[in-house]
Amino acid sequence: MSAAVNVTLGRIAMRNPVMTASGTSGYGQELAEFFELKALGAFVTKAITRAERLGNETPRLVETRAGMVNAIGLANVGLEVFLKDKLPWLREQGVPVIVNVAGSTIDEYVAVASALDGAEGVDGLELNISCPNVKAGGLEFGRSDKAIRDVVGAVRQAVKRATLIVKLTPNVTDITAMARAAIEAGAEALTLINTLSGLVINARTRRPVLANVFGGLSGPAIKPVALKMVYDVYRTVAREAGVPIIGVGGIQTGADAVEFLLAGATAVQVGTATFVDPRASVDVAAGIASYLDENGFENVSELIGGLRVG
Amino acid sequence: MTQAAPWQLEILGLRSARGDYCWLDLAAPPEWQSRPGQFVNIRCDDAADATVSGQEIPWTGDGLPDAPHGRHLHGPSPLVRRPISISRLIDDGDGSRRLVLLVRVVGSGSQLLSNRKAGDRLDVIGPLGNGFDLGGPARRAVLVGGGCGIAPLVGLADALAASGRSVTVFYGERSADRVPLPLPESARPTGDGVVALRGTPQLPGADLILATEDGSLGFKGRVTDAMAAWGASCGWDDAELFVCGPDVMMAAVAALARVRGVERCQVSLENYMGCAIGVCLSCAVKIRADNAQGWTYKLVCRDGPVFEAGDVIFENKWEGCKK
Repeated sequence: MSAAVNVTLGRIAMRNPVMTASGTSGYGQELAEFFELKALGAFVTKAITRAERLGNETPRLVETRAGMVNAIGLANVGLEVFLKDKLPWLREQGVPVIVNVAGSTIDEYVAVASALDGAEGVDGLELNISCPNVKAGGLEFGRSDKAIRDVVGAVRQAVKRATLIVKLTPNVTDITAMARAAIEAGAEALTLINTLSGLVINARTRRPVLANVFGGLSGPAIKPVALKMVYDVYRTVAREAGVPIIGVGGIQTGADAVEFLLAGATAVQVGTATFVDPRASVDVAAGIASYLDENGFENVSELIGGLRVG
Repeated sequence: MTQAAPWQLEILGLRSARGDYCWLDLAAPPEWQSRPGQFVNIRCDDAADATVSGQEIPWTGDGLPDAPHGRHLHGPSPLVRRPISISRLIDDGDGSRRLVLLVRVVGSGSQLLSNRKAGDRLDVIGPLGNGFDLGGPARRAVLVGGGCGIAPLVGLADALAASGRSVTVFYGERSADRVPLPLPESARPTGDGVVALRGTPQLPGADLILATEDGSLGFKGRVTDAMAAWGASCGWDDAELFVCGPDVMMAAVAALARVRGVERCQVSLENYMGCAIGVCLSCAVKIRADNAQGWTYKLVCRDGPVFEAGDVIFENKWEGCKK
């Protein structure tokens, strides 16, 4: 018999631990041309802000060694169009829907989160307090424990139904302090990590390659950093608080995902790999299942935090 | 599910051509349908490919020159795919189909592609994008290519000629040694004269007019200067333009089309793509729109790569990413 791969995240029952990473899978229809979304544990949307955002000037993305740096700038259709044009299709796909929420003020986070919380078919909200590529908001909310308490606490008051997830940035001195603040303010799960702040320079032109000057590094290059942060947060804060971690950063294979589970994650997100192969997330889910079977596990939960140290 | 799902396509042949180009023939799935102007997105990394291991391959994925002041200490493995125009999708009869691509070696990804051998398989997504609209009423099709922009125009020329239109292809390059098209003996420098070559091997149904900036082949000067000289004698009545090349060239052709009153001009844009399926939002271009700022972003991969020239705000930004 195959091992059980379903996991629970707050009130979200996932048929496997794999979800898309925000900003790498649009609003779902693009990927549905390559596989049925219900093959995933959950689908995470592109970040939604109150008003439409066009995004940054181009170039917005550049490949680097074992990764890429992007500065898209939270380009999105805005709350109203998402609710009217994107969500109705997405909620029919038979997969839990997690909407990534961004804002430049606490009021905006609260307004977007409460509107989504009241909409049919939104199972989770992932607060993006970690986008490194916009001038206002985003990252500035994610870099101090006080700001995290303020924004997560305010959203917590407004959200009644959806599971509240907080996505953290690695661009901090101590991510465990940020994780603690988010949990104490009411986060039911933590996603870590967002991209690492980075800069790509063209020596010939002596200019930055990206119009935004800097951007966020993702892909296989950041996997060891992400694993360490998941490990630290799990051991120092999340395990004791009973708050599940969603691990993300450089995952391409089932084995990569298993490493995150061993470090303490309950679920994982696949991001940059989807650009390389649109089917990457479903392949990762299949890879986890085959790992469990080959290694004699009966339930994926046996892996969580199971790293053998010493 | 669509036809785009990653396909493992066998390389049938690979022929290098002048100017660091190579023509690549792949066995295409019989169910593929394609319009001229569409493209495929190809994985270029392959750790298992013995033909590339041990070779020194320049790393240009980050837009930098080929490490001119040192040597990289490990080989590149390009992460994202490389978008390549479809030159032709040929029905060889007996149900087998051949995908023809023209690849210019400009960086690590295209270098790895050009090192592959017949019999190897490539991981290909496509056909992607909208392609050219061939439904216009004009009887004279004028195609304009610059550099690698000739790639989608060869199949387009076939289709337009098959529909009964007269087809003239302008091709501009810096110099003769960068022209990947097979040419007849009669091809030579023509100074300020515009000379059409009839029925060249890659453009059997078209007149080909070459222009080189250094005058080493065909017209001496820019492709738009050759077009102006040609237009002075042939006129632009009943003509439609189809263009693919560097932004500066396409902007110049679009301006010429506007000034000469050419009814329609379609341009196929090149851009830096992360995914080519509309999710990474990196290949955004400004397209004129009826809103306060006068434009909106569209994606080259999903909304294009072909747009009406008059709608495009040419910014020439992608050129800055290249070496």
